[in-house]
Amino acid sequence: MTRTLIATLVIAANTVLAQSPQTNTAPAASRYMPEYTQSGDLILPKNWRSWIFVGSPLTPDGLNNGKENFPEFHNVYIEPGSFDIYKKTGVFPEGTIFFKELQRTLKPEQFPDGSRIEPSGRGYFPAAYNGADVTVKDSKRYAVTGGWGYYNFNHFEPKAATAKVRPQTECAYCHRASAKKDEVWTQFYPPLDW
Amino acid sequence: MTITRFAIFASTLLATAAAPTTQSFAAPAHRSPAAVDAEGNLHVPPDYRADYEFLGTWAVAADKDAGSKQMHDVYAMPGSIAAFRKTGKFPDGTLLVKEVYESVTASMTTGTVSHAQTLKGWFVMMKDSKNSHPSNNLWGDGWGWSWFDAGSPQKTTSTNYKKDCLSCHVPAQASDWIYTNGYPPLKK
Repeated sequence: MTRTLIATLVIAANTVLAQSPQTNTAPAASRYMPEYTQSGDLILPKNWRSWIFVGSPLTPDGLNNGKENFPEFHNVYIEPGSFDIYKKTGVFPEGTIFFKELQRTLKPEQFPDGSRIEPSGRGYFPAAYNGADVTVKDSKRYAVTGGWGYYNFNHFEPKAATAKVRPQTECAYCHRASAKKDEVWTQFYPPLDW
Repeated sequence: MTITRFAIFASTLLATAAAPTTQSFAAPAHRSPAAVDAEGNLHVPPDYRADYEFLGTWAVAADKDAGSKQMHDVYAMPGSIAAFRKTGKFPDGTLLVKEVYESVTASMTTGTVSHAQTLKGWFVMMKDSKNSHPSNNLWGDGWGWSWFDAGSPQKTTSTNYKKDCLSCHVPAQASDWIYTNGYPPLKK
């Protein structure tokens, strides 16, 4: 009898434990931290589509002669554990990762500005994924670029498995000059801008 | 004694496991009560930002100027993408949230860019193939429907889905009123 009851309780507890991880976000307690190869390249982060989505700026081909630096939707995610800390402190903690997944708009374009008409109206609609860019905060590792490391994992698919850090002149200078908070363009991401 | 002690231990386990569930890691079945009450009044699901799956952004083209005047970011309850890819349907209880932002377009270093600026509000839909609220004017055609102004995520301003909501969804009637073709993550 005793054993049966204990067994039942164990099963009940296990059931709940087994159910709770049925999510896409990692528990806040266990942050996903950046992973590097032996030679120091950044490994493509895992499961970013289940991170916290913060916004999707759009640079359409039609408005940029097809020469925009980041084509075309920029779906930006922040690692969930880092977001939890930022919400409490207003500071991006060491190890924060931003993942910018690029995504093409639906083609063919029907208007000079790159838009087209779908049953819901005229606009820009998400289509194929198109590579990614990643930033990582580490004040010591990236001291030369202001505490953030900048990476490009291709602007096409498939994304690269690893990437080398980009120099100051390529990304960091603009972030340092114009991004609102700690090299992050919080002014474009309402969930981060407060 | 053994049983008592173990029961406490088990309860602690349950409580430990349950706590994050209610805060931000709920499975779909646990999430629903927070977003709908017994009368069928929908609310914007709390913490959808933390635990919902991002489906995609649609950018509404500006009428005269270049770029986008509104951006719609669409999220689905956890597990929805996997369920849809498996069955081609959203299971009963599925919640969809669409944020509507006013957007602005400007010339930046990286190009002419449109980005979200001010939250106008949310559309919330809940799948309901069983017609659970036949006397509620915000339920029907297999869904619960509501719009919420920014700043009022608990109280809808919609009064009748047929008048307030349905017309924009007519082109998507064949895919259960949702523009499922427009969200790449839903494709197999």
